[in-house]
Amino acid sequence: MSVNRKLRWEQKCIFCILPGFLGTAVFALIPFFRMIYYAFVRSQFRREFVFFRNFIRVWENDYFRLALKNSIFLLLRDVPVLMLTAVTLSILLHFFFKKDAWVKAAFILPMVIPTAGIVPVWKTIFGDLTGTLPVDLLFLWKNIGICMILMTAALEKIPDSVYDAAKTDGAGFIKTQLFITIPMTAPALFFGTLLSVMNSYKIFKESFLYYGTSYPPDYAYTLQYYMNNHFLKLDYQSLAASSIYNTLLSLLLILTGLRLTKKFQYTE
Amino acid sequence: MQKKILIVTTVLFFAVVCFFTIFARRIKEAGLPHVYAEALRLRTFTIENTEPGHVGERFRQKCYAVPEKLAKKKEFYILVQGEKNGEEVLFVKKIVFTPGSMEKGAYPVLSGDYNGEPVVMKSDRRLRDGEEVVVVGTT
Amino acid sequence: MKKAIHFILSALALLFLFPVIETFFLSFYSNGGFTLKAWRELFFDCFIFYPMFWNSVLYSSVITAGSLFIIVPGAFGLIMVKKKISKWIFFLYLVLMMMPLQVTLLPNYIGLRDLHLLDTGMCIILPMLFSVFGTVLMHQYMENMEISQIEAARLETNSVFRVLLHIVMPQMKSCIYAVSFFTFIESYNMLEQPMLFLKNKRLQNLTVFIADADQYTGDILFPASVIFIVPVLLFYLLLHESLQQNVCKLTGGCL
Repeated sequence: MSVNRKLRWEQKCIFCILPGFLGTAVFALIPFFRMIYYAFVRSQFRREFVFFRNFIRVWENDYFRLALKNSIFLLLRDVPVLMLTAVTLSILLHFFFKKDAWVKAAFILPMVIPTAGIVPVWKTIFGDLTGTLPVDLLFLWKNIGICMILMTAALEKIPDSVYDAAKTDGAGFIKTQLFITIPMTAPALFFGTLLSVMNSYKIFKESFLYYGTSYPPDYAYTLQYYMNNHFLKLDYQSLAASSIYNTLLSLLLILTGLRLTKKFQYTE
Repeated sequence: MQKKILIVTTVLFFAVVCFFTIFARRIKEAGLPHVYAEALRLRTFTIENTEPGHVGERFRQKCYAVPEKLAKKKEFYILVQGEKNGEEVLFVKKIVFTPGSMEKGAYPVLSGDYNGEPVVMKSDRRLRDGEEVVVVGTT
Repeated sequence: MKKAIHFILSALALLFLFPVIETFFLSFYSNGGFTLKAWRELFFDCFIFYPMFWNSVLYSSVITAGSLFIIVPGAFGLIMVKKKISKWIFFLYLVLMMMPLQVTLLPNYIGLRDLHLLDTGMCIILPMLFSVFGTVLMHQYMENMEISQIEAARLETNSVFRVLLHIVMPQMKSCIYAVSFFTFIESYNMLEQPMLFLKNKRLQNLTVFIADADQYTGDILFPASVIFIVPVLLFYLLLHESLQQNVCKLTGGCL
């Protein structure tokens, strides 16, 4: 193929990426950098450069600390339970329940139900229960589906021969799972954990709709609430600083997760 | 086969919601009482004084005039504007009053919490206090 | 032993379905009995519900349809252009996808305000139109595409459009369904943007309606939830088999 033609093809392909990239730039990237600018400025009206004063102020704010603590607790509380349940259910389903597709569909269904539609019934079921249990269960209910899909995909890739070999070696069921299935599905596990971490971090809709207010009980006040409230107060500086903290935290989680995922790629 | 059922259900669902979107208002209005209403007018009446010590005296006073039909019942309904779920609605409020003696075909309103609001003159069904109504026009 | 597990799993599955079923039932229940009162109050006393419902459906549909025009060429371009920069762009998209919404919410608000788009339908549609989620998903799927067919097509035509239409799209059909479905769900679920960017009630969507449900008289919460859930439920039932298969393939590429 002539060089000319190849070049024109490449140009056209670049042209394909352009609209999406421009749109993302306008609505996500440029705003993001603007926000970084706001974080370093005294206020919208007096644009003095104040270095890290905003960051220190936000860090020293009790509410921010509470929010950070709650967000991290939520993560530590929900993700392990979610992954454990998802893995157990996937394994059980995969080995015992191949024919009844409705069971699997039932677990995946919560994933697609809109949050606002299910919160009223959730409030009716859990009523005045204090504690984070309602929101935790809602998160669990909604996210088991995606983790199960990931796990099932990975499980189906494992050849039966491996299990036959294990049987001839005389391994019991639990042993087979622990020492064969888990390591072989490790990439899916990591990706699922990563996804769940990000989702638990993104929980806001569920909690906000459940408590119905911008100022939920102390144990439910997460980073997103903090940011939302400052947005409503028009306190752009605190909002920007906390968003940057938020971003750094997310980046940390993402990059660590991706690195670990790549490391654990299982090759036969 | 299953897919067909689902597609039909989806179309049906949207059709139903569409139907309600267009016709719900009309259906509701058809179910509400339709009333004719107009404000009472002030007229000068000759009223007999009933206060002790002054019985028998007469004086002229401007009062709201009600037709015989309402005077007999000693109550009427006024239209009140209210808001329901972001929409302005009219509903009725019962006002109890004491009528005086007839003069020139109308009765004066001698007491009652009335300040010139539109009064229901005719209605296609019996009204209840606080009910929502649709105004057709004036008599 | 097997039977016990069967039983437990089935019971658990029913438990998972319970909230949805209960929502349907509660919409007919009022003060101890089967009644249509709540439905009547929603349909005939709460006229603001209708524009909000159609807004939800409209925003989601427009965003889903429109974003396909951006996602398919975008992912295709990322695959075809084999330079370093496309890898960086993809990584950027991946990172952006994992960010919580609040991070870009404020700057988006300011940007939209400066463009005078606040309080219009566009301020909801535009940012979501360029959401990177779909591009990332489609990119993963496209990695496993058959390049040979594309090379063959390139011999005949230099038009990317033609190649996309006749070669790529048929292969990607199931992926497109999956991506459309997820995009639809994400935009159907929108809460923060309509709440914060829109003041006009007639432009809001149903999520906001349910969030603000206490300010409406009447027992409208459960019927509204039912109507809110039904479209998504129906789409899910239509697509769920192909969904299950394809999300596996999609995320299989990530590993």
